[in-house]
Amino acid sequence: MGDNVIAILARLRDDKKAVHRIVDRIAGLAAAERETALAQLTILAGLRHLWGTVEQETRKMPIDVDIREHEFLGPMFRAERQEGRQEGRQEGRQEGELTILRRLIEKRFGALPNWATEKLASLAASELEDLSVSVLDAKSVEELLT
Amino acid sequence: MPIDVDIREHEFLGPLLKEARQEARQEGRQEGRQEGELTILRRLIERRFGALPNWAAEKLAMLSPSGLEDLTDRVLDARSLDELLR
Repeated sequence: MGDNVIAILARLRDDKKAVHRIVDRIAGLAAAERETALAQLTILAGLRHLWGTVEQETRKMPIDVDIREHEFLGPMFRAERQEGRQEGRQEGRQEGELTILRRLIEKRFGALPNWATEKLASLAASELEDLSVSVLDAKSVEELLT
Repeated sequence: MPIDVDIREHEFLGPLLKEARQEARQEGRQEGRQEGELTILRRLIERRFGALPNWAAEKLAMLSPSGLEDLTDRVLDARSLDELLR
């Protein structure tokens, strides 16, 4: 079936007809095979900007597949989620540290001047952590941040 | 055969992947935020009152970001760990 999908999509003259034929054949497959074939079709059709046609055709048949759970596409989604989560985590960590530190410094020394706000925002997480200890002993914002 | 296809540009899968990444990024951001706040506060509290006993560490770990932020306002004035966290 995989070869079929590729062959037909590769030299199609009539997009619609080709997609229709493929979807028709996919509908007749056993569930496991069907899922694989659909994923192949999805990928290829998307690359050839035929997704709209595929969507129309598959809507006519009783197929209920969550592409995100697919054996090949699933890991791709997981990897994407994992990377996104890591990125978010790092951003969040820095934001959280900054929030607490700013509050502390303002509590000790009053409203922050612009240069201090900018300086704080430019610091990496590890530098912010070091500051957390010196905030207790510093006598002024200048001493703490310059 | 050199294949150079970025699946993220795929007209159907691309947006789905992007959405999945965005969702996860938001989740991660919240987790990170809490971790970051906790890190700073823990260090500060330990500096003031010495190593944290278990009950205090557990109590801190359970606080939400807004709870941690409230604590920040009190950590400089509190006279003891008990006063701060109980």
